[in-house]
Amino acid sequence: MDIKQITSTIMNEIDEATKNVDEDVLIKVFSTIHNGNRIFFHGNGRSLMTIKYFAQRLMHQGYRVFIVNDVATPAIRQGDVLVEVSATGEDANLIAAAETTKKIGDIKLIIVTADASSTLAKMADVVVKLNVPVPGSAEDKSIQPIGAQFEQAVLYTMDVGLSHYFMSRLGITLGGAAGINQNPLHANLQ
Amino acid sequence: MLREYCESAIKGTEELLAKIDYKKVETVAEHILNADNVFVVADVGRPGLALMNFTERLRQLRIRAYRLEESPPTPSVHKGDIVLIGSVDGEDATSITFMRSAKTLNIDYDLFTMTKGSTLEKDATETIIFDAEPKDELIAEEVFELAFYVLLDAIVLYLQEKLGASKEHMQKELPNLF
Repeated sequence: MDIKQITSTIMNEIDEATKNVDEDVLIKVFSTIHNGNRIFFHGNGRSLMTIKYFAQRLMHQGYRVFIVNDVATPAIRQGDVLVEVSATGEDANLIAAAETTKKIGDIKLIIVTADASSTLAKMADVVVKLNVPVPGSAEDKSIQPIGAQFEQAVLYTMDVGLSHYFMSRLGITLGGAAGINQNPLHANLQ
Repeated sequence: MLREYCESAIKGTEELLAKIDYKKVETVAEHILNADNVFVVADVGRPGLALMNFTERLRQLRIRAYRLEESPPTPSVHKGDIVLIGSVDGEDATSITFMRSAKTLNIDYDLFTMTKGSTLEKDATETIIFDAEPKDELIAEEVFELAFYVLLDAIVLYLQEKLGASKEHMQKELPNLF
């Protein structure tokens, strides 16, 4: 396949992966984040990198956002929200962090996963089950390397779908025709 | 409502991807295959995140790929290496600083951007232009960022085929320590 054909196939996989996501659950993600104090994001590898798109958009909208393991990330406290992203829902470090939030108490746990029956999904207050098979399972027919379709589903569902839902609920835009650089919270140091 | 945003985004991405010059993309893929090392400038916002994701996949293909300025693992850059930059307007301060030193060191870089005629484009070996337009509620920058993400994932598959690397082979290269 040439690269153009590959992009078409990937777009079909993305279309499939963004179907049938329970919108009520996504609206619950909105209310959980909106009513939370501070929002912490946790994940590994490309899943973490991809959820950072959504985390950044929340920051642009005025939410206080932190990435677990960054040097400037403070302790999580009661009233905060933890968003964890894991295709399998079985990452040991994410499970350990989820257990920590249970010990502290009064921290809402949102899980974005491909496996609604996973360990993390069972621990969560809100489970966002994306329309992709668990990467590497017998149902996984994607032509792409392990996890790529899940990551793309995270990008389109969480960053595009949910970010825009946030903006419509909050009555704000990304800067209109003038572009994102007009957002007062857009980074101005490189 | 949420699904409608996704559908707009998917349509917008598809329309933008249809306008890309794929001969140039293949040239970039060849640069990656022929380079001694691949470096990405990943300090620039969301295009930087896409390039960091790409670097992870290149490593799974056993291509030596690094994020510039990430110490300690990133070595120095030399002639024969290729640097990849993603930039909305081609005017990012970090990338321009790099470009100036790259010129003196004779290092090639390829640029992915949505803006024609930028400072970064002047000295780029190859430039992939994304002629992005707003799509429904999405601003042009968002459509660019999505298409850039998908194009990099498509390049991964292309490289995978060229190198004869199976999915299973790549899975073995996934990080296994957390």
